[in-house]
Amino acid sequence: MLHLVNFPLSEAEAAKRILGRVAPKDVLLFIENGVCALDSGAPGAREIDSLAEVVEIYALLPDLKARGIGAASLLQCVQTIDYTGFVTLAVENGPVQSWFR
Amino acid sequence: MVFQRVKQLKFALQVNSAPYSSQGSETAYRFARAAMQLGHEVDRVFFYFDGVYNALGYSAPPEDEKNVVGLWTTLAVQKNIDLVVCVSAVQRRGWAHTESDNEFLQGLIAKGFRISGLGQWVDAAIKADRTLTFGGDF
Repeated sequence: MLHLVNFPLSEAEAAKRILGRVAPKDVLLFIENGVCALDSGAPGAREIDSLAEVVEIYALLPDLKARGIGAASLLQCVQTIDYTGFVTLAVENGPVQSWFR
Repeated sequence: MVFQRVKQLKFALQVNSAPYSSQGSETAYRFARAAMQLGHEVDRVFFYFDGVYNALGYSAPPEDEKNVVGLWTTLAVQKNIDLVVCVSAVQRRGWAHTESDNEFLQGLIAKGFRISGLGQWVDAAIKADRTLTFGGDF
């Protein structure tokens, strides 16, 4: 399953709600404001980092760039993709579940 | 040389947020374009909740800004995608009083969009290999 997250997971309740439903071998893709949680200095970054031991974590590169999050501050467990990569993730990891605030 | 067979899938997209107030519509648009460039099909985009504002034909952003409504219209015309606007969502937002105002509604919406009901989303979801929902921050 591909999980889309479009808001920062630093909010404790949301993090618990979503991260608790991610199963091993699922894929997490952070888009839009969701990428803000992937800055290594962001609250909740440690939780996401530990999650990378069981799931693959991706971020949409244009959304990272739009928010000024560069490779230097991005969590090391995060792989960046463009829209072509987004489509490929959806093809290879269906179904797709969107998570909203 | 070994050629890997690429799966060609059918996508149905739902857009739930208004243009200019959140990014969901633009993300959906860019996803749809990328999917079609890779040879996949995007049969229908269903505009629901505040997503119906993407269909307002009178949207007139300044020329140096993105015209989100225009982008959808162009995609619909060029790629023959069915852009469906939820009638109940537009009624809730006061665009029309009853479904019999359909002619009035058709005058409000931009080229490439059409008004219909939630059943169109169910139909698209049944036929699609993948469904994606965008812009649910409401």
